[in-house]
Amino acid sequence: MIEARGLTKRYGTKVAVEDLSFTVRPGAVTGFLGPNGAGKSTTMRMILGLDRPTEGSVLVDGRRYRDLASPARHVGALLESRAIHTGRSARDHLLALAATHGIPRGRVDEVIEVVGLQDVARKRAGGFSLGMGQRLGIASALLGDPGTLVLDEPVNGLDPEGVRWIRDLLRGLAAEGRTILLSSHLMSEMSMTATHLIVIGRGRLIQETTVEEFVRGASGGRVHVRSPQAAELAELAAREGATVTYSAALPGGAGADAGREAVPGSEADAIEIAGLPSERIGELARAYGIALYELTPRLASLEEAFMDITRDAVEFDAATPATSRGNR
Amino acid sequence: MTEMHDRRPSDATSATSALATSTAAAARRPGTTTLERGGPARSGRRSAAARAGDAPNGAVAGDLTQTRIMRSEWIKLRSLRSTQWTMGLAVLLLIGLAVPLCISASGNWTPAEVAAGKQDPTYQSLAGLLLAQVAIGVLGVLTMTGEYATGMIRATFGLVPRRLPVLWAKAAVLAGATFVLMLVASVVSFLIGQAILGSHGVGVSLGSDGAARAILGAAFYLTAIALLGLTLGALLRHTAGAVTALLGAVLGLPLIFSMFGERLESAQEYLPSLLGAAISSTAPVRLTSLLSPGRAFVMLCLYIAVLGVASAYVITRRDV
Repeated sequence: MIEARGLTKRYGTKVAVEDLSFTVRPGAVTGFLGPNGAGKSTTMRMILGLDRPTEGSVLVDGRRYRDLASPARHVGALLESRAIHTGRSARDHLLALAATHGIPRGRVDEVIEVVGLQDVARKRAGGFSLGMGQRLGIASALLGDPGTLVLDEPVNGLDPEGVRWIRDLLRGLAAEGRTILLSSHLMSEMSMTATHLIVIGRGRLIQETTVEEFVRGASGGRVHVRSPQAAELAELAAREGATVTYSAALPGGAGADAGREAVPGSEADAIEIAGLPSERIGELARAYGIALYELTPRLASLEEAFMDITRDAVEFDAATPATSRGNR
Repeated sequence: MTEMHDRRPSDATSATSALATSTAAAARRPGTTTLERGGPARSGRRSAAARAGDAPNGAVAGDLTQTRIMRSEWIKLRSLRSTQWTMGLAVLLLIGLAVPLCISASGNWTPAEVAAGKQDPTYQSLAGLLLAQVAIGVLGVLTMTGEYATGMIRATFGLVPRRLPVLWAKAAVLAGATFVLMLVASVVSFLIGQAILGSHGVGVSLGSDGAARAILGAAFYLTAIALLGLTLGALLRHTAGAVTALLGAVLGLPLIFSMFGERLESAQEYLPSLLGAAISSTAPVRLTSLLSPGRAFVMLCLYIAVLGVASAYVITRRDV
């Protein structure tokens, strides 16, 4: 369990994280999303006490991380930048880390096996590929069998096999009741692994939600409809207050406002209706004797949802300082 | 220990087979074989620990203790090649320089000079520390900066968020290892040097006045240099910068001071390298421009304390 309250980090005048509050709950994989420079890594470093917050605090299992008697039992972390001495073998690296908490040698060999590094465990880490370094990082995160895992871009540099392994591992750990905070730039990967989301932009919280709600919210209740009388249906839907677009012309559906004018006299049979549930569209069609070939609620992908929402946030944030400062 | 012993043979064979294949294949192969095998087996075991929650019974990780952090730092120190290189080099320089220095002295000195305290056979056999200190100083710096340069420091401080125990552990382990090794090397250096000098009648024995103290002093001085390197490394975080600062202070400053002539002569005796000479020689203080061994010891301790406090202050405040 991770609780951030009013977390703020400033580097001089540059604000990396501002008044960030969120809770990462046990039993789920929580995705940590945000564009580059949004403050994800800084936030993760603050959770681990590596960066000192300018204001606010973050608690792990109800206590400040530095006040935990056994940090490794509570949190295992993999940070974005490598944290391995290049001159030491993978096994010695893990043995040294394990020693701080009296973790037995057997456990070190165990995590080496879990991440599949047993063949290279006695080689110097300096010669490791990105993927192997990442596996070693994950091994050190697992050392203390922690209740919370904080992973910054864990699939970076992993082959497809490794990506799938991480996904299964994390879901399994979450199912055991552990808390997992995971950042990734790979949206498809995130949608397959995470169930909850914390979305930040420019250091501020944009949304704290589930993946499902996030995607549903971003899709704006669009329904894809195919009908030989599409134009007629479009007019009916527009009368009900919906926005209608011709799917073929606007595949992404991003410019939904431009919809109405395209309605009359068009010969296309595929339309997208936003702002009307599919049930209502079906009833309308029946009431006016319109045949339907297809009636499909459209869900945006996580990527589309992310782009939509962070774009808004960036615009919003860019506007705020200008108005608050007044003249510049 | 038995676990480790059991695993060794299988590890060794698989490691050789991995060496035969390409690195990429070695990286991928474990992924396909063991991950599927290891995954489910692990989660079964893990769930038991998860149910135990925070309770220490059944948890693999114990609490942080200073002793455990010291053990960790000991593993770190001995598992790096740079430690073996710098330590080996220091021993080699210390002993290796005693031989030519004592051979050259044995031809020039007279027993009367030695008896009058005008020549110092003890320091002659320990003067290799002037070069050994370079290697030891670099080791001290690397103990700290090696972690910053590679990012290892984030793993270290991530596990020991209070950070200061790491600094104390590093200092204790480095000081312990350096002192023991340098003490042995100093004794050997002394014995070899005195054997050479003794064959010309200008040697002294371990039991002679101040000899044992000088040997201990040499080992202590080198330990002090290691600790000064460590603290400079903690302050500056960059190897090149910290090594430059240390060697500048130890080797450069005496030259600069002497160029100022008499005005800085009295200050010169407080420079680290001259404290080193003071603490490891047996020449009477009235004949040298050095501090007494006791005061030199105190001064060295003071330097370590000041830099130690400064690096402790900086370590707890800086982000990593």
